[in-house]
Order: sequence, then C-alpha cells, then structure tokens
Amino acid sequence: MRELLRLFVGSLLALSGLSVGLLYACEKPTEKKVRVSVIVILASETDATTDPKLEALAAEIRKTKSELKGFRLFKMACKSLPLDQADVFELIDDQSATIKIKSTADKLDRVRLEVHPPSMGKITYSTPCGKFLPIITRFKTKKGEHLLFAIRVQPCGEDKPK
Amino acid sequence: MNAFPPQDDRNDDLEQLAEVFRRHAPAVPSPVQWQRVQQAVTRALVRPAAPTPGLRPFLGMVAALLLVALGGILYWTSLRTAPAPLALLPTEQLPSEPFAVAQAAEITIHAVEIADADRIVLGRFLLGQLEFARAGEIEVVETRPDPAEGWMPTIAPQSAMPLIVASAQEP
Repeated sequence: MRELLRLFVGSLLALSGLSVGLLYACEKPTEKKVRVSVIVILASETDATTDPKLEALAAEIRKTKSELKGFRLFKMACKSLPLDQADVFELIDDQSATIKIKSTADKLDRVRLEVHPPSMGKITYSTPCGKFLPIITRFKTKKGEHLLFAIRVQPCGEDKPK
Repeated sequence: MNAFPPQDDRNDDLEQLAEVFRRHAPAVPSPVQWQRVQQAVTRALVRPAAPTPGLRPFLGMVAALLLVALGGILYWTSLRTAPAPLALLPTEQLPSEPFAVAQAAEITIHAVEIADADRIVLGRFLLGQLEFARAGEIEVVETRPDPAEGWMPTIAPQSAMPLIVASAQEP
C-alpha cells in the first residue's frame, strides 16, 4: 500500500513539474529592444541662423568647418530596434542611414551599434544611453544645405523594462 | 298653279303601284330562316353586359386611396411603438480586463517635425533634452570604407565633442 502511495505521489509531482516546464517554455521570451532616435540637422553656408538647441554643436563644428554658419533641426524619427536587425532611417531627399543594434545596454549603460551613413561606408561604435552622436555627411541638398544627423539610443538604466 | 295633281290621277298612280307590288312581291321567309333569326336574337340577349367604362377609374382610385391610408396607418403605428429595451448585463458580468495599450517599444515614429517632437510622449518626451556625447564617451570599434566612393567614417580629430566625419580612405 505504501509503495502504491509513493508511486502516486511521485507521478503527481512529475506531472506538475512537466506542466510548469511546458508553460515556461511556451511563454514568449521578452525581446530586448533599443529605442533609436535620429535627428536630421541641416547646416547652411549662407544663413547664419542657428537653433538655440544646437549652439554647442554648431560651435564645435565651426572649429573644423568654418564655412557652416547656420544650423537648424529638420526632423526626427524614432524606432525600437531588436538586436542584430538593421533598419533604415530616411534622412532627406533619397538619403538614408542604416542602423543595427549589435549589443544592448551593458552594466555601464553602453550600447554598441553599427551605422551606415550615406556614401560613407560603416562605423561600429559603443555609446552611452541618452546622448546623441552627430555625423556630418558629404551630402548637400538642392538648396545647398549640408546634411548632418545625430543618433541616440535609449532606454537607459532608469527606464529599462523590468 | 295647283301644287297637287287631281284626285283621279292620284288614284290611278296608287293602283299602278299596287299592281307592280303584287307582281314583284318578295318571298315570305321560311320557318327555318325565322328560327335562325330568333336564335340570334336570344343569344344576343343572354350575353352579359359589359361594365360601364366610366366605373373602372373610379374603383381604381378608391383602391389606391385605401392602400395609401393603410400604409399611413402602419407607419404611424410603427413610429408610436417604443423600441425594445436594451438588455443590460449585470455589473458583475461586465468584462473587467484593462484596454490593450501599446508599449512605447511598439511605436515607430517614421518622421516628425522637430517642433512637434515633444508633443509626443513615449514614456518620456520624444526629443527631450538635446544632449550630445562628450569626448571619451564614444568608443569606435570598427570602421569600413564605402566600397564605391572610398569615404570612411572617422572621429574628427582635435574635437572636444565627438563628431563623425567622412575621411578619404588611407591607401
């Protein structure tokens, strides 16, 4: 009788374990995504008007490219990218940049990403969360404005999904 | 000047006329012919009389008026009839699940004017504070030149703020 009881309890425990395991396996794993923001900036050689938000950047760029006098924010795009999946961000006219997340935020909140700016090959770099990295392209619009864009990744440590 | 002929002359004429009629008197119809005539008369009398043509339009108008009146009564009745009351579920049977709301990571903003960027909140303001990376914060892992034009992205030298610029590929 005791043997039978042991067998019954053992089977019950095994079945419970199997059910829990199956449920865990069937649950969709949470996909890690990184939100990528891209701002498009246009720099003019003639119009010296500069967006106040871009004053610091403009001053830094003028050190090497003194011909660029005015800077304005043109537009913005924002996408959540999964790991190792490239996505295209339209910039202006037919110019675009391809961005791929190579690794999500580490303990230091740094994200590694691969960027293909227009007609510039590619660059892989790691960046802190929440800060823009500006890229100056070689493209000029029909109005003669220089195309720049800046990339930022999020979320950072404080607003990561739990 | 007398308009009428003398009496003797008229008598002679009548006698001559009677003589001519006697000589050429028509044959009396046979009993069979009389019977045919009688049958035709009987048939004509037995045929039902056609309705008076002036009565049909009047009857049609009366029927049409009756139909219109009947339709009006039905419409009026339907207007006056109150709609069936809605069957309301008891509160405890109402679905209590929260509405499905998109997560910030599920939203893609393909393009937005900068002026409108901070009207969108995805957990935080879309643009928020425009903070650029500082020197030493960007670590370049790898760069590759453009296969067609040979330009390569590099960090601008002598810059306090990291800037990626295009440089000609080194031979």
